[in-house]
Amino acid sequence: MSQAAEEKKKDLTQKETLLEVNNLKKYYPVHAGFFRRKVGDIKAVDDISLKLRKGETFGLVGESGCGKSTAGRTILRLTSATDGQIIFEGENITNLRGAALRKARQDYQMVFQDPYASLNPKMMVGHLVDEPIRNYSHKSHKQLKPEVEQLLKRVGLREEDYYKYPHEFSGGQRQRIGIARALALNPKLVVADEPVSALDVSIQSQVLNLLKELQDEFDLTYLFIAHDLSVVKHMSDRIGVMYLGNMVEVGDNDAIYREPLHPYTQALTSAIPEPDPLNKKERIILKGDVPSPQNPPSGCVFHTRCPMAMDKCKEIVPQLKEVRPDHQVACLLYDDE
Amino acid sequence: MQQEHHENSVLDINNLHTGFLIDGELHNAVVDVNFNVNSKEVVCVVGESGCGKSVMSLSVMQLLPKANSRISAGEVIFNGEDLVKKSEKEMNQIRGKDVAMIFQEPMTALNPVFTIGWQMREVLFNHEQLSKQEADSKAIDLLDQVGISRPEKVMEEYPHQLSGGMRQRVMIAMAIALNPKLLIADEPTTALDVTIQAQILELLKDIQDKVNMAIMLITHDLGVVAEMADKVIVMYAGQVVEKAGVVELFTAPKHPYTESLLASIPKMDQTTDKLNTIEGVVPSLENMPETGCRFADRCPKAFGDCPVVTPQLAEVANGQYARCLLYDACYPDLASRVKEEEKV
Repeated sequence: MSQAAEEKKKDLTQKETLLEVNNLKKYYPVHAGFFRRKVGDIKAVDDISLKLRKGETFGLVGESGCGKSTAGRTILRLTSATDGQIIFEGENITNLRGAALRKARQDYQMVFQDPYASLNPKMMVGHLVDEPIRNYSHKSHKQLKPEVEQLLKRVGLREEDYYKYPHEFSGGQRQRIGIARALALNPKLVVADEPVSALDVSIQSQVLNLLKELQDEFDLTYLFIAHDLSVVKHMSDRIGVMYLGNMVEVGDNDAIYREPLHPYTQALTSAIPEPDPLNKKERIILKGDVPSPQNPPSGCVFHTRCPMAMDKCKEIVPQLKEVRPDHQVACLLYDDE
Repeated sequence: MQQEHHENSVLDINNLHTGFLIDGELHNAVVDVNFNVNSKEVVCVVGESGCGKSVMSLSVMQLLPKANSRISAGEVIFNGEDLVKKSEKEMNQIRGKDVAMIFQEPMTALNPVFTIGWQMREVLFNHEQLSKQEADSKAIDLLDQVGISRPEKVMEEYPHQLSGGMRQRVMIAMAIALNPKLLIADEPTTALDVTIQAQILELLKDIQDKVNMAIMLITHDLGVVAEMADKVIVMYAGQVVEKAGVVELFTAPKHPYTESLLASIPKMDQTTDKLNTIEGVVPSLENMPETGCRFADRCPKAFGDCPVVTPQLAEVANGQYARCLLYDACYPDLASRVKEEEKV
């Protein structure tokens, strides 16, 4: 770790908590049969807790269907939580409604995955970017134009782009528009849900650099959600690994990569093909597929695919606990430590 | 690095140009592509979206729509025969049997209204005289080979009942059903999660060892390339910009595009604050520069000649080819230039 990174880390531990999520659950009911009776739940997010300090980036990583996006959306109150608490700057926002929720939302914004689907094709860029501001004030497009142009320039677009439409831009540029929209209200927290997975590597690096610059400039806190562990590691200070709705490991970005504790994290880090043909590492190949979240395995949800599963894994649900300083894991292998 | 043995070459692509008709005008999406695939070799074609890698692979299989696309020049030699000159009927005999293909999205490649068994039998019936029982037992055997744990049951299931990884396994089973000499895999793991991707890549390697086929793997992921390839073809804006053995490409890339691309990937074992970027975007098909290097306006090392002189692909190090004017060998009129210099 470089000295600058070391200092930043020290700095962060002293900062206050911006967002606290306690035992968050999000279940989707499943209905079946003639009377559409409720027959079960899809446990998209099953009891996760996390804390974000001001100015840090928390990476949430996992495979498709692990609940990382649902977690992000629930934290932003885009869907309501089934159970648990979301505390933003000391205020419990879990059950806010109506005008109060609307007001609170100014402070947390989202950058979406698909820059093609998340922008209204009939709106010109200038109006797309001033839309969030106009939601909270009665200013006209004209009054906001200088501000919007400033913002466009800041995210690497040109002032002239104000009058263009989304289809005139490439994927990377559209993502910049999405970022400008998210920043328009000067939020404190930005949830970025797979912001670069639709982009090519050379464009991906442009957007990642931009996100980092903006974080320093506007003192933003990021919840960065992605499936690509190398991208998450590049962006984040701390990383949470999710599997089937559960948080299985939380730790420093370096610790997660150098000393992954949970067998799933170990398999995940080893499965990433690295661009180095001389460094062929020993791979842990997991058997089978992720089980359905409607009918998750008993005990530890990972035991069906875990290479180190023991008998007790089928029965006991492991709890997330700190086994190294600042490094938590939910696995029975570390029960005795 | 492996020398090019043209005698055991399975596929030779020579001077291939493929274009699309846009407003009545032919725009080439693939320009002057030359490379060969040796038997039992894995050749990876890598490039960003729109670089022509998929169009190139579809040209090999003659699968591009005839209405708006043309192979305007070049040849694709497979088994000593030029596939470009083949009729549709002759191609049907080759596709699936000698050259098989798997695609990125296995859900769209499988027919949703037929069972896996029906679709497996269809492949076999098209090329071999078999009874239904024989075909069934062969299909079950194939599904078993690709690591499907309950093949008899999967035979009766429909594609939507399988997961993405399982569907890709079924596609691979179909592809290897008739022992093809060449498998073209177009982004076979892009739609899959990393742990499933690791399974499928492992499977492809195993299968290749068992049945001795060559693989042309098309991907945008340099990690997959490092994992799988013997030889790598890097494409940019329809052209091959670099061709090299996998170790040479990653340790000593010659073309600035390859270099920047490698530097743009966040590395797991390093902590960097800023990633390398390539400014700008790939020029669109209609706005492709007529002369000069197609990468010139984004290239960090561009100089005076770059927008004017069109570079050619030439050997710049032992067995390593690049298309870049930083290397004298790539100047198109090298022979005449040398003579002129001698005169002066």
